[in-house]
Amino acid sequence: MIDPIFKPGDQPLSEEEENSITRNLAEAYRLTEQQEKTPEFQRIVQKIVRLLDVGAKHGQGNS
Amino acid sequence: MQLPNTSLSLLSRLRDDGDQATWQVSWRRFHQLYHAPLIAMASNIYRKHTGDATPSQQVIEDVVSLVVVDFLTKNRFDAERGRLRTYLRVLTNARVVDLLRKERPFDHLSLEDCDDQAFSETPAETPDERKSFSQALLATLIEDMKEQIPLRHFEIFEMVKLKEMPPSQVAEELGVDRRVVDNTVYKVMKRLREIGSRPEYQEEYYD
Repeated sequence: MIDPIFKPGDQPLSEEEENSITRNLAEAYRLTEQQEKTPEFQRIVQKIVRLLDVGAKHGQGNS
Repeated sequence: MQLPNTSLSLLSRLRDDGDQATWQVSWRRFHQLYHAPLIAMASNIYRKHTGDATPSQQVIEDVVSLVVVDFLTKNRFDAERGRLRTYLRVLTNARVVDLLRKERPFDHLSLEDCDDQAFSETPAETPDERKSFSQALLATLIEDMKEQIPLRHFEIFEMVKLKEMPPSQVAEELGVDRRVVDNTVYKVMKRLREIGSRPEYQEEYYD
């Protein structure tokens, strides 16, 4: 998949490319915003927070 | 080396040790943008190393969380020396291999059957990983662009292009002339293409 949004700025876009950009941008935006609400995403966030917290405490203990 | 603050600027904020509140917001946003490609990477790399065994949900979540923490704490990504997706795949491969070494035996492939060299090599990128990363890159591009334009302009762009509302409806809802909507969308699209044409985006997007 080559997205025309990444074509050099001085190259004109066809109507089809313009439509393709809109579809792809809208899909990427929607997917990114929606996944935050999934249980899987939230569980991973909690794991990351725990790991970062453990790392910070470990770092403090060593300092 | 400092990343340019005009593109992929989220990554430069993650490297900044100064403001803890900004860092907290930035890592959560980084995870949000790259969550899907990391899931795809973890799943595909696990399958490649195990003779196509399906990873459990817990394995995927463990790998992805560890990769994000590695990315945040090791702080070694340099956009001038390599691509983000290559770097994330190397981190993911390392975490999958760590996990496999702890989790033997497997139904399909025992660790005795794997030589270290095969394990250390990151498997080739699959089409679904590539698609997922491309979508994350588009979302990152929108994020970068949002920081560089007035909020009102982003609001109009978001309604027309990202939420696909008819421009005439957007003009009516915002109480502005239709020409304002069209001109704003044109300018923002132009700005988006300018940012997308920067080398760091081109290198991430194209092989």
